[in-house]
Amino acid sequence: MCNHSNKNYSRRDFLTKTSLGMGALSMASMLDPMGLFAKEKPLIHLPNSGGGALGTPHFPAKVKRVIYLFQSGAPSQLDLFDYKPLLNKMNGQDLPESVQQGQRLTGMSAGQASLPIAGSIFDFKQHGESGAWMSNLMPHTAKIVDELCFIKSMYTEAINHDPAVTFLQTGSQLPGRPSIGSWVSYGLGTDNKNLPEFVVLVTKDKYGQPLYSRSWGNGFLPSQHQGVQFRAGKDPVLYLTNPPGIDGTSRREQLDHLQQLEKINHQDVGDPEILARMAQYEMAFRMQTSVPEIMDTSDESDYIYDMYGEDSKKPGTFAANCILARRLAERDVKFIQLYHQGWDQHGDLPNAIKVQCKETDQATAALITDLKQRGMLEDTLVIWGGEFGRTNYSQGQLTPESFGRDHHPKCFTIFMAGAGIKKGFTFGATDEFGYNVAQNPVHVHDFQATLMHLLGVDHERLNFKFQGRRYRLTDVHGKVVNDILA
Amino acid sequence: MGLGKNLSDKIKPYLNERTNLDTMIALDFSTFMGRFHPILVHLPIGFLVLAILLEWYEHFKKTTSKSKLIPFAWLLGAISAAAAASSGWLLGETGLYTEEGLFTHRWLGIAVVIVAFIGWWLKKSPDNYSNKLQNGFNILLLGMLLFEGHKGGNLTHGEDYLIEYAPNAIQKLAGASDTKDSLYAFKSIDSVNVYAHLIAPIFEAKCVACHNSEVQRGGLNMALPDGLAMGGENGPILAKGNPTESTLFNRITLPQRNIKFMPPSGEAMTYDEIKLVEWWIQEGASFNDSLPGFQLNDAMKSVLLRKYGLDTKPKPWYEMVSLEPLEEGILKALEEAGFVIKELGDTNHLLDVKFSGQPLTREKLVLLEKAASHITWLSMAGSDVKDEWLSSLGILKNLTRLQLEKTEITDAGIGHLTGLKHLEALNLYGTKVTDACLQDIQKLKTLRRVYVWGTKVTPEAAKKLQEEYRDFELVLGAN
Repeated sequence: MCNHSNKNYSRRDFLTKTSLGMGALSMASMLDPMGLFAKEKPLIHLPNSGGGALGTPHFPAKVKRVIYLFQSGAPSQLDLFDYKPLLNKMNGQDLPESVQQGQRLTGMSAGQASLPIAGSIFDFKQHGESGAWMSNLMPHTAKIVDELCFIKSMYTEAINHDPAVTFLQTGSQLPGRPSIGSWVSYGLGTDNKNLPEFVVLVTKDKYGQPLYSRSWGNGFLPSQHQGVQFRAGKDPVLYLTNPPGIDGTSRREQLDHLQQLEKINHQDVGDPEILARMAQYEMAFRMQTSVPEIMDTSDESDYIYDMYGEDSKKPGTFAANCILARRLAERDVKFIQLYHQGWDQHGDLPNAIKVQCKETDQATAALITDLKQRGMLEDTLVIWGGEFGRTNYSQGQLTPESFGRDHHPKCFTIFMAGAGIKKGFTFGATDEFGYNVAQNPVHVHDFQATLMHLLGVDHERLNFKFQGRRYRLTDVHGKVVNDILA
Repeated sequence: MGLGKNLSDKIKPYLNERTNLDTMIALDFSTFMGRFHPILVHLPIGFLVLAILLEWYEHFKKTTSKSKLIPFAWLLGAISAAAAASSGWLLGETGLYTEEGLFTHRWLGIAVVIVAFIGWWLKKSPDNYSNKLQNGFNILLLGMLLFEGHKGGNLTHGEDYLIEYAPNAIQKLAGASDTKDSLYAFKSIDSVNVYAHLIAPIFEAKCVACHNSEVQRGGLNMALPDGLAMGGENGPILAKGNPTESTLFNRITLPQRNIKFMPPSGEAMTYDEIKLVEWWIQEGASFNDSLPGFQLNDAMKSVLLRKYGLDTKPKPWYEMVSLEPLEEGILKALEEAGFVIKELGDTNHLLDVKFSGQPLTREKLVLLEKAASHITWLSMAGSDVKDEWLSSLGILKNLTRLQLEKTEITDAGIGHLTGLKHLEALNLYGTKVTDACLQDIQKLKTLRRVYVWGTKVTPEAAKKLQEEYRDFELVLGAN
């Protein structure tokens, strides 16, 4: 690293510096030709504004922080929320072509001789004053439906897990774009300088479809905006602790000197990634004290553990992560993303989905209740949902006790709770086969636009120029779903 | 809709129609003849202009003998003018035109006939009369034709027809008022007059071309509230509170191929427009009431949002206040005292303030007074704020959200908050408040949500308060 100061420019350094330097200069003069020669103008001074690219949000943010409970693998909406009695009546009959309308199927069920309609074997009831339908798989969540806003008409374009997760998290099926949390971090900055703006918690020991860290990647945004994964166990954030024999003071001193060197390096080379790395060193240093404080949940009362369920005392479970999510939200982390894998039930759905619900139902309901009693639903949004839906026909053999469901992008259900959205409300509907959206379709980009809107961001105006064009989370699409806003 | 009850009401207009019918049958043939007027009027114009141009041409060429064609053209012009005038008279009798607009056109038309005949008499023996008289007569007739034609055009097409698309300078010369409306910018839902801002523009676009103060097809004038209230030849068109009994609503919702469907030409009303008209009639077809006086169902709310960008949801107070940005010096002082300050948005300069630099002192809190009208969200959660210090919060007139959770605040502190006129949410969880604070909380009329989890507030007292105030949530939490 010290070699930087006396080395010759490489071709890469030259191109980086000149293109950026000249580019920045010409950009600045284009925006404000007089400003190039004028004295530095005093900008509105808000040192605490968090350093986001936007400075202030475009409009007042109803939501200050988001907890996104991502159910990876795609939970079956037909067995949880989207009650379709017709499927029970037609159980076992072949799915009419008039419903399927030539929709492409995955290779897993496209070759099946028949597509037998599979009614849910779970009991559906209406709950709460809002009368929301839910099956008996989620008894705890069913008790709080009056806090929830269901969108039953979500649809996506991807048909397989990774593209679908990538699409939902980054707005593009192809890897390489920043994820929602990174955009939020980049645009709005931090509310707590001791913790990252974007934290990821993944339930441990869950398998099924792989989950790639690029789902919380920063794409082309500066790298300090990527999600930081907190793990269960001795080292919540990897490589954060000081090696034996190094104490905090000498670490600080070392960082100070490193910063000076990096500053010189940046002046020479002008690579913005140097700034990003400097920011990350500093963040890592502050996290050395802030993270252990977050992860040490011994100050939580017993009845809080009871509320989140017995799993919540085992680090790394979904329930334990829900408690951590609340603790992070209390400390103003802007975007907290949980991942829970294992919803990909192509076969033996009835048994597998019970296990999944047991792991998530109580903690989800507890998190929402807990946030509510702390008054945090005033400005926190909780989102629960997967990457697509599941088919109304059985993949593999349909028996009275068992069936499987294949991937289904044309409709799925998500729910939200908290600030800025209607409570006890169901938006959109599927047809009576639960196959196509019949009313108020909500595309993934619409969902993303709405999420950004709630955070005070006009999704069309938060963008980043990369490889010659401006990119944004919703690409060139997305409409805010005004009807769900409170 | 009991048939018996409404029977007499139903017969009445029917009877009127019967009595009108006899006269109408007699009128049918004359109306048929009358409708030839727009064709016939062009004949005298052609003949008479031809005659005058011919005369001037011969004068210019200095021909010795005057053409016999000139008096003949005058005669043809006079006769066709008479035909046009009689058909015009019949057309005027149909009652589709306002009397004041018709008067000049009618009598000027008859005058043209007389002048044309006199002209024919003059031109028959041109040598008997001076050139001055002859030319004066020519110019008089041309002037009359021009004015008469213009009046007739105004009757058919409306007064603005000619200059509607003229360049602005010409419009100004003609003294037209600048009536081109830009899309009405609504400041708030209170400022929306339903008839004037929402309904009238629909009529303006789809109906008024044929139902205005000048042209009143079917005797109906839709340009003015009076005309709408009065109705047309066949009686009233609005049944207040009852769209399906209203002729207006029926005519715009008939199948488009029906001869009575309105508008008969041009673009039909859109679904949203029909829905708006239906709702307006349903709500009493008032001409004066503003939006808050109307009942809105969800469907109407989304029409208003979609079509006019009118959000009828009650807005949070912080979106209704508009203030200049707070002075930078004050912001700096507050930040130095340990407050984290954020502006709500690009154009909304209200402040979201959170105290984070322990310890909090009375002096620091007093600093907030300098930003009194700007602070709308304030958090002192987890701070060592004392009851009596809260008295400095009373002047935060735009405060909508106050977070005092996890502090040592007691009932006495809540007493200092009763002056907050726009407080919507108050977080008191984990404080020392008891049932006694509910007395003061009741005084905060705008308060919607209070969080008292982990306090001594009892479920009984909370339940009692909830029952008294319906639109109010006291969150006790699990314990």
